[in-house]
Amino acid sequence: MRVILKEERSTAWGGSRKLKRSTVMRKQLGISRFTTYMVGRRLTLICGGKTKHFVRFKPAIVKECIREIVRERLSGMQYDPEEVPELSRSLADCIKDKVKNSGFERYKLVVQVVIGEQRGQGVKMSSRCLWDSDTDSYAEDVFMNDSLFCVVAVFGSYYY
Amino acid sequence: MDEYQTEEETAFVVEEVSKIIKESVEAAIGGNAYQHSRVNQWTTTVVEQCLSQLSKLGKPFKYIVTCIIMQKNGAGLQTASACFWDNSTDGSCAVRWENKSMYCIVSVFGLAI
Repeated sequence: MRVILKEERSTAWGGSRKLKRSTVMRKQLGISRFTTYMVGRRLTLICGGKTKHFVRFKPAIVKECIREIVRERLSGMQYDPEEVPELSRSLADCIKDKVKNSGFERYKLVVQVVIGEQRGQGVKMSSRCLWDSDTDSYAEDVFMNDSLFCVVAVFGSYYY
Repeated sequence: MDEYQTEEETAFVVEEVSKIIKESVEAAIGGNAYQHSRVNQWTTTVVEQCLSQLSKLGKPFKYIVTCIIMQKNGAGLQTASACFWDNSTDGSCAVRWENKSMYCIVSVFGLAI
């Protein structure tokens, strides 16, 4: 799965000098009043003279959360059309709660779970996001056994 | 009345988003039969088309768009989502579409800024 920030440039402020992608996005999203500085894993946000520090969404940690829960719940599981709706909902909820308690304050979270039966069919999943690439990020993990496959994507979007 | 209009202009309107998704899928896939070599291009076109139409709405939202295409051969597919967000401003919309040879599920999440 690929998640790529869509790059959009307008001549009005793109000009001949290539602007930093996130700067362009910030203008488009109407959040250019925010300035961000990155020091190590910490991100500092400055808005109207006020400074906020926060922990960035860390894909590696979130990926580990997903992997742990999915392995535990789906190992050795057979695809059962009767059970899958409830299973996917509870997986999504469980992962959301775990990531929520991982300390990424002021992040909105979207967890998407896809469970499919393995019968040799072709499947393709793609994502695109329109967001602030300085603060927002995502993590994904894929699990497979003989009977089913499961793709989980978690998107984290900072709330200013 | 003014207030109502302002709300409508800046809210996540599911019908509006659902229409954008359906149009994007129809335009990208339409009546085509499943072809392994073209699936990459189809999913990419669908998400990009959706995102570009959503950004044209000019609403103060960040958007997340995902698209899944699966070949029909009797296999089952289920998607679910869970969100931690502001229920009063944020919203989501999922559309299930199919033709003779494939299923396409598109989900859009709108997060208010």
